[in-house]
Amino acid sequence: MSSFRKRTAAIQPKLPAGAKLSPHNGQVLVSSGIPSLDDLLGGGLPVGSVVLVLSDRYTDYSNILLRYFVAQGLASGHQLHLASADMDPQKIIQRAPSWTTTSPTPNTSADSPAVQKTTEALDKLKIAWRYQNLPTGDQDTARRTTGTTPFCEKFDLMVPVKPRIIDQATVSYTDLTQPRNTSEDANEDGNDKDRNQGITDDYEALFAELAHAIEDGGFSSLAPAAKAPAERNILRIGIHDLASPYWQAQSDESCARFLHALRGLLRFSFGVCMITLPAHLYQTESERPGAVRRWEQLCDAVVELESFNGSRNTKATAGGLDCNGFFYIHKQPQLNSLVPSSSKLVTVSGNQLSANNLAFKQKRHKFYIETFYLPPEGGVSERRVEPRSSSSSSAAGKTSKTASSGRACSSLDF
Amino acid sequence: MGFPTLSTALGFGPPYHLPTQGTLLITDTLTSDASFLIHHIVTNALQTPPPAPHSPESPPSAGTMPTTAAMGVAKPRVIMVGLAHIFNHYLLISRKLGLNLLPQREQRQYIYIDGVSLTSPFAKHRRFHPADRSSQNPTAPDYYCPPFDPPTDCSHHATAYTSSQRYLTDLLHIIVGFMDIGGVGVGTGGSGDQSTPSPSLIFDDIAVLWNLGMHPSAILEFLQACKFHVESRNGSLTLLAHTDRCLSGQAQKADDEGPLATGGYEYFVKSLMYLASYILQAESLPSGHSRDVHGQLLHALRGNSGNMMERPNARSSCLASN
Repeated sequence: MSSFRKRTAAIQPKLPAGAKLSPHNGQVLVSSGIPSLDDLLGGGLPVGSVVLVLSDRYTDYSNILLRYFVAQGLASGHQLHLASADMDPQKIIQRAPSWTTTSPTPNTSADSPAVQKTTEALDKLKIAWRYQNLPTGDQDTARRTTGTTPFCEKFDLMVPVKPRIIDQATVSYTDLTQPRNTSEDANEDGNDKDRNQGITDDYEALFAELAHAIEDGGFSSLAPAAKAPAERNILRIGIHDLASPYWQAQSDESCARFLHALRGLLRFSFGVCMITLPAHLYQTESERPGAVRRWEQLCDAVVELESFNGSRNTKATAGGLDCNGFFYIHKQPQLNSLVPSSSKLVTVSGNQLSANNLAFKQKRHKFYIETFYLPPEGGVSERRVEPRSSSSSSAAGKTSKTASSGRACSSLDF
Repeated sequence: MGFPTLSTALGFGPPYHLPTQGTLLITDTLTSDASFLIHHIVTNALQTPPPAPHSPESPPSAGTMPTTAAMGVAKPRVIMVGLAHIFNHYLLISRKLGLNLLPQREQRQYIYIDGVSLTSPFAKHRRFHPADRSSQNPTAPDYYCPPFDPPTDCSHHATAYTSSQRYLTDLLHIIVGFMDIGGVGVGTGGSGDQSTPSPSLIFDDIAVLWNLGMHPSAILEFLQACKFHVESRNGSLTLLAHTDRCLSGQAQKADDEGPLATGGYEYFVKSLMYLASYILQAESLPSGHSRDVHGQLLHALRGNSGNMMERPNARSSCLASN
């Protein structure tokens, strides 16, 4: 027997559902729910990283990113933890988009494969024996037989996710909208509030909640080996509008301390965190805010949305454009590697890699990011009314010359 | 071997990949990450033995490396205070650069102090101490920085200073303790003066200490002390800090006094530059993005009357070799 053997799934370590290995550096990746964003960040979000989304002004596109992130977690069966100080964090998950393909649920996988196999065996056309064991082209049956979920689902922004799916998922919330309890209130609350007793800082309270969710939920890789679960799941942490005016901090450094502690916590855990941050609140007239830049340094990936409605420079010209704003990538995830993996894997040409700008578009059903380009001058409609001139310009060499000269003659010959 | 083209570009000379008895400051911005220089310095320091200045009888030729180790000539020692990344990060990258840090760590040539897991004041809420698994885990750090405990009353200037000073003094004792561990070589085994190696102390991202709210004067005093201890042992000190332009306008708690007030970030970075004898400045190209070139590296030697050399392609060439 040859020493070269095909790597089979049995040898490889078992990945959590909805995760894949990066082809660049072997990092475990999960999807953000938006394929173009995954691609720009080098295949997906690395497990153990913190992704910071700097929000757009006046519009709410950054929360679409967060909703996609949450919905992908629901689709992959990940556990979720959502936090907000502005609104009830349950609203984030209620407005998450639903996905079109059906995800495997335990009761269907129990009975259907056997039925399907018998019917398949009857009407199977024998082309060649060697193709018999390969998975069929139908995505759904292939998934149901192997029991794996796809890396990224197809979402529909028009249809919110069903309440039944939210009920089935394991979701925990940190609601910081209530004013902080004074010490006597916390004593009355009793059971699960006692770990936040006496914490007057929202950031500190959130970190205590997250540490609890990770370490008691079996997501920490530092837990004693006896306590570690046999099958790893992934915890997705979504934090809505960090450092907005509703966050009560004890000192100015609370946010930086929170982000540094979060990095230390997530590096040793099966978790991934997406944070939206209204950076424009900290922006002065002329320059980018220094405080936000400090927080950016403490995160692993930083992207920024700038909607045309909210920016002064582009508002006037944005009328004819079919995209909603610019998309910037300030920092690429660089965990355990010297160069970000996106430098080799990315297919959409981004602003870090070439001179192209990126733009995001929100259609009725989907949100995506692509290379920005200006529409043809004068708009598309004006181009279309003259098919003759366009055909004559595209015709080659001599004929176009004669055509144009003929037309010139005809215009003179009136 | 790190990046060979970068070694020649930096101009410390082939055997001296790090300036001995000097302080190197590396500055970068968010868009031009200079952490590759840290990996370059670590790999170079551990792979090439520096010539011992006090023992002229040992010729610095490549073939005599095992014999010099048996003679007890000082081997290099790198003490890394990782405030931005965990040990696994450094381990995997140095493996790609052709150096395995695990045996180096067993021989006490590479010492990693974890400043990520527990340094933040909020980390006291964690239940699992990362050191719990250190017996089974070969990649557990040598030491963890304990949680920095800021004073609850932040309005008082003096308490912030004293608490940071107390914390950093403790950290300094730990670092100096690691500097003085003897017996690096396997063959030497002794604890004589000659076997005590010359240490290279590296802080990956000193700005984290500032971000966590430590008092800038306390950090600067701490670094001054580090510099003294390192230079008295014939070693070198390397610092990484961020110098984004927008950061410089930030004055910490003292907005009315302007950016150059004591406590402002710009003053902090300028003090670091004053401390350093060599400055490597990584920045993105002023002309905008380019496909292959990530940025430019500015190399300044403070001792040599501001001799500035511009090396626009240093980073792109070394990244291509990776």
